[in-house]
Amino acid sequence: MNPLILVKIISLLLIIISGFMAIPAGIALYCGEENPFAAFAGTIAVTAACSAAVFFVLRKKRAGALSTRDGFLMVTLSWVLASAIGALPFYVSGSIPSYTDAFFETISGFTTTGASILTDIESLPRSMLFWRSLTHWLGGMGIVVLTVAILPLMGVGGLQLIQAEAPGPTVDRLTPRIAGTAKLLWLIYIGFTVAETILLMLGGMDLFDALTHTFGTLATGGFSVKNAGVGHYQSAYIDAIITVFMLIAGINFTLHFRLLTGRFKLLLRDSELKAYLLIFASSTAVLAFTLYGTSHQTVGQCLRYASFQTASIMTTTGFATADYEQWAIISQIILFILMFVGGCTGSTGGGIKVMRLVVLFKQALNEMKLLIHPRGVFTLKLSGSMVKKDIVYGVLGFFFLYVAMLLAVTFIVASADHDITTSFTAALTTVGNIGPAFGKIGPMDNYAFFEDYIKWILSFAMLAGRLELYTVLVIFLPGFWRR
Amino acid sequence: MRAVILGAGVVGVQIATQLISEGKDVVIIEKDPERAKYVSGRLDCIVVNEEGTGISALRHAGLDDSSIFISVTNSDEVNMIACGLVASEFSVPVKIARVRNLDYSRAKIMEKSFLGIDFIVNSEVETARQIANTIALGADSDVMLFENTDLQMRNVVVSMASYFANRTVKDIRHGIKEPFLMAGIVRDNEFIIPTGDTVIREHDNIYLLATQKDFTRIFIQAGKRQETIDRIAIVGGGRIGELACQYLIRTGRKITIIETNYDRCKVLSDRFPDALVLNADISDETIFEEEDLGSRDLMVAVTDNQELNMLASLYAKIMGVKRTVALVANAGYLSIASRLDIDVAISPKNSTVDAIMKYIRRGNIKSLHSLFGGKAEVIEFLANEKSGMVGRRLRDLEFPKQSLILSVVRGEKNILPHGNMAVEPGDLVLMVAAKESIPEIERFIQD
Repeated sequence: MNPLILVKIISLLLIIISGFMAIPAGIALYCGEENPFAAFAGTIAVTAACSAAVFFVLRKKRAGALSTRDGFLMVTLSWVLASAIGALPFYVSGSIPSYTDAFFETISGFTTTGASILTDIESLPRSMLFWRSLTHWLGGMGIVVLTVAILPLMGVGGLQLIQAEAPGPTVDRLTPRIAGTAKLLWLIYIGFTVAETILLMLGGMDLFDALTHTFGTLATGGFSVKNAGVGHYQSAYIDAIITVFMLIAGINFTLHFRLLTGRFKLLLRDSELKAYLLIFASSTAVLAFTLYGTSHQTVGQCLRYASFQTASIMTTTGFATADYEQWAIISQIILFILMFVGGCTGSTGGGIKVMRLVVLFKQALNEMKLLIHPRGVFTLKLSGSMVKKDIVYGVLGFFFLYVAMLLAVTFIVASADHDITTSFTAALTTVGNIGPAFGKIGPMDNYAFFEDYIKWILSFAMLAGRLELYTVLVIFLPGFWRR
Repeated sequence: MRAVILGAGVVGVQIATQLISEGKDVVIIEKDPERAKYVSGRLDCIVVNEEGTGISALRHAGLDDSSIFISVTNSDEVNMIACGLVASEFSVPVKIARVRNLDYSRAKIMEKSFLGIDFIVNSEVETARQIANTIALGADSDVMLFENTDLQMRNVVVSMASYFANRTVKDIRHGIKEPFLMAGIVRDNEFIIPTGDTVIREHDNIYLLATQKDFTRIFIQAGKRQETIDRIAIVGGGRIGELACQYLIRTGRKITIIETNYDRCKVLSDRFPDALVLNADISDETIFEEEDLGSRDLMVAVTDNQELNMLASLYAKIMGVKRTVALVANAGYLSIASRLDIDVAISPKNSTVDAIMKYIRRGNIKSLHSLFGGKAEVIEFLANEKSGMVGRRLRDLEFPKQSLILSVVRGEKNILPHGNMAVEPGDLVLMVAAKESIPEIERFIQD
């Protein structure tokens, strides 16, 4: 392990983050928000100056080969530091008076969770709201992937880093060089961002609202700039556009690349995509059916609210157009179950991921077949090709860790005497990077009332969930630090 | 005409035997001195005991004035390189290589004349195709299919209870309504072309020609029931087993593959997600109970071990499997297999030899099948204006004794031949002939 190289790369990453902070600073200047401007300018100046100084001292250190271990540590540290510095403008400007709350809000942004401690979102300055949504957008495709894409200095270690950050058990290379792959992914991401922003503006949003909601959608984040969320606009068109783009964001971005380059056949063969769309379609249908005649009276309305909420929860976005806690219990349970699903591998979505569920399902099926035919040989196939044993084991281990993590976080939240629904769904929604939950933290509530230690634990849960557990938890193994 | 054969394995020897009996000069190149000595003692040909990939050996074998080069050693690479050498150093018009590797034989070698090879034979593919054809037709006998006609040739071993036993061919044709033709009888290792007065005896292996529809009824009268074949167990997941599974699974049948090598099982279960792959040894009888293999409609035994194939087939029959197909390489075993309760015995050697012989006699001959280890051949040939037999009444043609015109296919119609008819250009003629008569027959079918 080479700590100096880690520090050097992280200092670069922080320079990039502070560079992005210049955008809300500009907005603050344009809107005449003096206090926020000072907070942004100060944060940028201090961060950039310190990082640049560190980078200057270490400029001669060659960032050659990073080991897999270095990758885990570097990625985790990057996320923690990015959140710590990203929280400063909120805190310094006084928009969010407590640093705990500011950190919670920022890490919730970077991890694309969308859980907020704000009671009155609309009272915040526009520049602060923009920064809050921008953290989603940066975290969605991954800040380390961004660094690799922008700076080709990673060399061999790039793949380790992306693997440590990318959602899902495998990373597909689209180009021979990993930096090229990272660049392509970001280009597709930017392309979708432009497309959604224009479509939302056609639906009557101004540029600011359209951009911030696009950030929230494509990163599967869920921060809105309105207290009532997307429900504020009361527009079927906007609901439809956001539903479609939430679904797009939940699909593997390498598949989007293949679609854009005209390789449709690979798309049709993809097991994960098929399962993803099947879960979405069937859940929407059942949800719409349970809504009919209870919460909504027309078929069109049922489908509109059902598809939006299904896409929002399943892709772990967390937008709300309705207070689903007013719905029938059976409708709520459908959403609760969807919280276990998540997006596809290589998407911006969180959760367990559809591919893991498909692997688990097929493995369970094979185990049963093995009981019938003790000497049978069965292979687990995804998208027409054989899945290697170690990937199956990795998925099994992940699933156990995921459940264990949920229970541990539930236990800690419940220790402050919150009810079972609130405690468990708080764990579910933070580890899965979803946002809204049930009980005291439903779609119309917020996280402000939680005790400080619970906010820190939930912050940890969000980070661990975003980095797919293994990357963060492996650091706590004693063996990790042994040479 | 001189032919040079590289490799005196079973296929090489069989081809040599056929070519020699047709009056051709044969030179065999074999590197193993023991084998070379053995072959030169048994066949009327020159055996050159040298490595086949040396130019001097090839020259020594007389390739300078040969017209056919056939490379059938055990190594794909040797066969291909040898053909390449022959192509570059000599001017031999026909170069044939046996190649097992599917990638080599599937490459567009034929069109681009890869390494100068004119014809590539893949025995596994030929064998697997034959297995699939046999099964598609009920697996109750060897089946020979012909192009452009729905006539087929099948064999039945006559049992005591059969209607055929102890009757003359004339009587049998009276007794059975369906039109059919008896093409030949194998009795005590002799091939006989029957006349109307020939009496069929028990244990005779008779070859019949009829349409598939008629065969169903003929077999019922011959004392052989037709079974529907849906659930198939393939023993041995080697290349032939894999190819056979590939052909059979497309028809929607339920396949179980039993293979001893675990890694091979993994490959198979990856390739055939709809098949059940078992990692077990067929000689371990508990697998029959565990997987209820006795309830299968058919067992295809295609391991590398031909004795195991035969025993597994017999055991399967005892356990209740309705039909069995066994891969048997040894010619001696082939005749045993047909007497035992094995329904179909398939020889990879025969299918390879058939393919090579067919290529050598190409031209008007559309297909050619050797019967009973090469003792006789069925020739399917397309007549044109220049063919020797066209335009003359059949009774005026002086055909050799050991030969018979089985059928003439004109347009959609199958015509049973009679002495007063004449073959017209465009007719498809099916003939059977004993090995010794082949050179004479060639006179009638060549231009």
